[in-house]
Order: sequence, then structure tokens, then C-alpha cells
Amino acid sequence: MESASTMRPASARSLGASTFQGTGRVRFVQVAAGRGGRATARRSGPVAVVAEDRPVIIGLAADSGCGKSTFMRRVTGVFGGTPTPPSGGNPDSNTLLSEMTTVICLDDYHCLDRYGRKEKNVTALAPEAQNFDLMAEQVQAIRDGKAIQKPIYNHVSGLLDPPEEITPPKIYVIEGLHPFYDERVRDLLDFSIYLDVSDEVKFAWKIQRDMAERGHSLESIKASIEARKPDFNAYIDPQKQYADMVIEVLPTQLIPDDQEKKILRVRLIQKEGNKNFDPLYLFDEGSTISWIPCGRKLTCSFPGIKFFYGPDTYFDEEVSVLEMDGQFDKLEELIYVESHLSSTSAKFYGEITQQMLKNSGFPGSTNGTGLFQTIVGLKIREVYERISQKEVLPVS
Amino acid sequence: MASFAVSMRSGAPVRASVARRHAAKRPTALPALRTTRARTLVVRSKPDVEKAIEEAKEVCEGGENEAECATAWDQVEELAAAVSRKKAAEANAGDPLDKFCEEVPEADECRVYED
Repeated sequence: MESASTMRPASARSLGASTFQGTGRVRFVQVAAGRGGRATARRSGPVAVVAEDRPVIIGLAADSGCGKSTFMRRVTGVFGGTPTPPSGGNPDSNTLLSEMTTVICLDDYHCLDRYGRKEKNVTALAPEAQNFDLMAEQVQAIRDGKAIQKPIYNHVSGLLDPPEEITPPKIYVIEGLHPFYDERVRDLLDFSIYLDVSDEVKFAWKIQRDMAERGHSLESIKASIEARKPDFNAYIDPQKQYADMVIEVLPTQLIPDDQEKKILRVRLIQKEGNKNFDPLYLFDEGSTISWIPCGRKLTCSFPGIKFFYGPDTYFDEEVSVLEMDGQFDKLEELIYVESHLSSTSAKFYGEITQQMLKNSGFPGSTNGTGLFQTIVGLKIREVYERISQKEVLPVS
Repeated sequence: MASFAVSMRSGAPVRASVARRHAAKRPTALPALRTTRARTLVVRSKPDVEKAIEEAKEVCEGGENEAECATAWDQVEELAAAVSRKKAAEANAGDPLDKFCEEVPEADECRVYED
């Protein structure tokens, strides 16, 4: 397998020539192409683009609380630096600042604090608990280049604290339960991601998180998930139809009757037609591929790795789906897989692997969650570069 | 040149800078007199989660009031998330001695003897 040269200019995306030899003795040569890199009629080649000098707004919907999430750390890691809370401000602030990115938690737009919600019998998932007017107003203000005084929802006390000042960054990420619920906010987003964790996996994760705590039991964890489900299904789940990318986390299909839920099947659902990014693909864009990289050239330990790629429809829209089931066991496997993916927005051969290694302590580092979250970070970089027409140098 | 020394107390490897600090001070000091790396027990929040779970179980018993039930379990979820996030932050906090020495560099424990 030939490797591409190390530092490619921002315009080239594919990995140069590579060969793939499966059992059917298929050989293909994938040629480095210009931006866009393929001959589909749908997306035309480079056109005159006007650079927009404004913050790029990214929305991330996730049920796992915000701020310190692994997803955010992987994404901001692509841009370098360590995200830290604003210095000198409220120590319980949920905001994270890096050189290029600012991540805010949408819980800050709760209009009812924990006690208010208890009184009114409203969950944090319900729209009645959010101040969408203020959210829309402030996201618009950031986009217009103005600083805002954003409230702080203190997760420790459950109260709303005095606001903190947020100045417009290059990349502004809003993370929380309702980033694309309100239409006004949705229209301001340049790129949106929804993290969709299936019930079984959510249950397994919550068990891991809570079982060591006193008072919790399997039943209480189950009851908690079940009780929140109606609101979740009514208000949070429907947002996924608006996302540019959905990361679905499901139990593995490689192990029958798997109870541990440690091996995961992760699907990256990518919407077609957003001019700010190109979906990633495997081997041949638009075709359907089933790929098991483990074989003669690569040995994997149980249960191995299985990929699937193909077009599909999702909520009546055209998407392409890349799916990874299984677990990375060694570095070799990760590099091998990376070298066969196309249109990943990596700037040099091995960038994905490097990012994964950098964050190898985080959960999901050995499966599709880490891989796709890292790639989403690279896609966010691509979105930023296309809108701002500025190049972002890859970090080491 | 070894960059690790071995702690006199536990026999575990420690960084050379830390070992130097310890060695420079009182090589024969009793461990009990030093700043111990005590972990602060977060007693405050644990009962809150337990209490909230009890409350939620009570509220949901009848099966009648869905809104109250959902709200009660939502409160539990929020508290449990806060506890686990706090735990994760503490686990990643790093060497307590380093943190202490950042704040109070003139303390005895933080004396560094450069060769």
C-alpha cells in the first residue's frame, strides 16, 4: 500500500494511489483529485466562493450533559489547544474556550431552574423549560460578531447564575438537548450533528455510570430512562431529522446475545446536499460496500471489525451511511482502516489515527464512536474553511 | 539518566522532581506528618441523589401522575450526572502535590533543589 506524502495542500483530499486486494482479487486505484474529488453531476467543481468573515456556528444535540463531553473534546482537539473554562469567572461555568473554538452548553438557556421545574412538574427536556427567544437572539448576535451576556445554569446548585460575557470566536459550538428545536436557531447553524444512542446502549452506559453510587439499582436506572422517554421522544428525538450528520450508537451484531454492550455498532448518517462539506465514503461513492478488513493482510482479534457503506434515505432525505461494527485492537488496524476511507477531510495520511491516539484515554477510542467523532471534528474544520476561505493548519 | 525514582513510602515510581522535593526536605520524616494526598469525600451530594431516588419511587408508585413521575426521575438524572461529572473531574485532577505547590510555592513540601 503506497502512502501519500505527508503534508498535502488543503485542496487535495484523497489519499493518493492505494490498492485493495480482497478475496475476489479486486484492484482499484484511487487517484488524488482536486477539491470535491469525484465526477458526480450533483456537486460541481470549485466555484467562485465569497469568504464570509463571521463565526461559524455548529450545533450538537446530545443527551449526555454538556461541556466536558468526550465528543466535544475530540472535536476541539482537531483545532489544537486544551479547552478550558473562562478564567476568572464563575467556576461552575459550562463554557469551554480554546484558541479557535468556544463551546457553550444550552442548559444555560433554561428559563426554569431545577426547583422551578420541580414546582411546575416539567422535565429539562420540555420546551417550556427553555428560553428559545433568548437563545435565538444570542446565537444571532454571535453570528453578527457581537459579544453577548449569556446566563449560566449552575449544574451543581441547580440555579441560574449571573451571566458571563462571551465574545464571538471563529467557531461557536452550541451543545445540549435543543440545538435545532427552534427554527430560528436552526437557520443559523452551518453544521449540525445529532448523537443518537439506542436504548440498550444508553442503559448499559448508565449502569456503568451510576451502579457504583448508593441508592441506584438496575430498576431505578431503568425507571429513570423509561420515565424520561415520553418527553425525550416528543421533543429531543425529532430533532435528528434536521441534523447534517447523525451518529447512531447501537449494540453490535457481531456477537449474538451480547449482554455487555461493550462492542458497539456505530453508524454515521450523512446528509447529501450541504455545500459546506463532502460526505466521507468507502471505496466507491454512492455504491454499496460491505467490508471486513481482517483477513490475510490484517489480523484482528475477536470479534473483529466490519464495515458497511451505502446510500439510503433518512426522513425522506438522501443520505449516505458509513457503519462500523466491532473494535480496534491495535494501531495497525486503525491505520489500515483510515487508509481505505475517502473524503475524510484529513489533511495528511494518518491524521485520524494521530487524533485517535492523542485521545486514546477517552471512552470510545477503540470503536466507531471515537472514529466518527474524530471525523466529525475534521468535517467541522472543512465547513469552517469553506465558509471563511481560510486555511486551518493541522495540529500535532 | 533515570527520570523516575522510587517513592520511599509506597515503593511506587515518582517523578524525579517530586523525589527531589521529598529528598531535599526531611529524608527521615514520618509519612504521617506530611501533607497527605487525601481525597475529599463528597458527602454532600450523595445523600441528595439517594433522597431524590426515594422521592421519585414514591411519586411514581400510584402510576397516576405521569408528569410528576417524569419530573422526579429527571431530577434524579440531573443529580446523578452532576455527581459522575464531579467524580470524573476529580479523577483527572492530576497530582495533588503539584496543584498544592502551584498555589503555595513557598511551602516546605515544595522546595526544589536544583543541582
